[in-house]
Amino acid sequence: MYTFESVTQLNSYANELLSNDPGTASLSVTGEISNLTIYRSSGHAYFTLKDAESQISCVMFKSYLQGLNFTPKDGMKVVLTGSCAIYSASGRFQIKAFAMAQKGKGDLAEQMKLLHRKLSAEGLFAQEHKLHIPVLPERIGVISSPVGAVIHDIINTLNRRNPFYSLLLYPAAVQGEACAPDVMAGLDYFSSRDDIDVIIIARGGGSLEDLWGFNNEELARKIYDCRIPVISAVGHETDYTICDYVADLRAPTPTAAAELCIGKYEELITNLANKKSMLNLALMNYAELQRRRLDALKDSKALYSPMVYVESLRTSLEAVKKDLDNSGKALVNEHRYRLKSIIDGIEMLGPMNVLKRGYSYATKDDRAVTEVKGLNIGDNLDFVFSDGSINVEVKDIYEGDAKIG
Amino acid sequence: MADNDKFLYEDAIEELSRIVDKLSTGKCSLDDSLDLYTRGVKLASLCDKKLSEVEKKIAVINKDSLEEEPFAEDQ
Repeated sequence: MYTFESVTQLNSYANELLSNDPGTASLSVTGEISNLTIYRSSGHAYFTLKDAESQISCVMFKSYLQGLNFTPKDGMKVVLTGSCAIYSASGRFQIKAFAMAQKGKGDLAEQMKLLHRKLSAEGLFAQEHKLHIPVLPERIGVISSPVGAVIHDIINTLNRRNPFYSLLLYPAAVQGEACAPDVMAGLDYFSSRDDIDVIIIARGGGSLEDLWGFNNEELARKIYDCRIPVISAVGHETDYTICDYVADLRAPTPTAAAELCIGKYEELITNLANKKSMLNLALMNYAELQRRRLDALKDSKALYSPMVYVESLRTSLEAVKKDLDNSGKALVNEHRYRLKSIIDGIEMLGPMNVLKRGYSYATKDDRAVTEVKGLNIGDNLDFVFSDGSINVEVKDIYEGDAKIG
Repeated sequence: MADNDKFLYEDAIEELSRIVDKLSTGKCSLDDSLDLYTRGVKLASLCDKKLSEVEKKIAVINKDSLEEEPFAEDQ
């Protein structure tokens, strides 16, 4: 027989036993909530869990209560997870609950899978419905908590990336029951404005329970219907929610969302400068091409039309000659002289005729070389002959007879 | 891009790229080429303007009044 000096000792002993027994140290139990009281000062919830024959006192502290995705109510069938202990002050045997799920709702992962399957079948996640995220949004709408790291991560990233941005925050609960209605109100609000070009829905990482508000069907449909592109950055890296699937773009983190919603300033500036010089170059190349075409046309005319002209003049000369043979030698000579000078003049126009007589001309970088001045040893020159051209390298340079290079 | 539509930077850049490609072929008439070039210069200057026209502003919505209030970025 044990002898206890005090009731306190007895209660501690009993608690020791309860905390060492795996069945009472960590348990889950199903029952119906009754006599629920949530104290305004502490925020803790006290209630009775009962079935047809039995009941047990329960307490759920504020921090755990806030993590629930529903509000417990009397009469609700729930599964409590927690531990059993005796509250020494009253001797009451009770459950300290740290999680609660509504009975009959299935577990959260299963619910999410079902919703995913349903919305996917309806085509809400289809790629062809995704809106394009603009490069330079006039204004970025953010739906997130106004406190905590997330909004500041976004602002810091934007500051680093592009100083020319404007951001409007719609403060929303990102956990618990208020989450989905808040986020939906934010989407409605931004949609009612005409200056918001992209919306970011953001919150940090958390458990499936923490993120449960983003697995809401009504919210998913509102994101789908939103005419403004939505980037979802809910949770961290590996956390996926229905909100991520239905959004136009999913960012693994709030920081990544900030990177995706606006182009990097330096990159945009460099890219635009490149485009500008490409445009100028394209026009210059076009002008050069046209000039070369014009030159080619001029050359072919100089070669072609004078010969035709010369031939026709020859023919008429013959005719005139015949006529003049009958008319008198003096006149013939005079005409012959005049026609010949015209023909000579015209033949002079064609450089090819000059080349045919054994001349050639030199060019350097497509410009005719007319003097040795400006030439250097080693320069490459093109010599054009009547039937082709050769490329030569300058070995010696003479000005007059004097060697100067 | 009609002038009264919302100016989209990426659309302007894409049109500019197409203009450069088209002009580079050298197959357009002189008039068309000059028109393309003029349009390209206009797009580039619109992009220039767009790149830095937004003034940095961070605000938060007051959900009761729906008024914008300044938001302190360093907290």
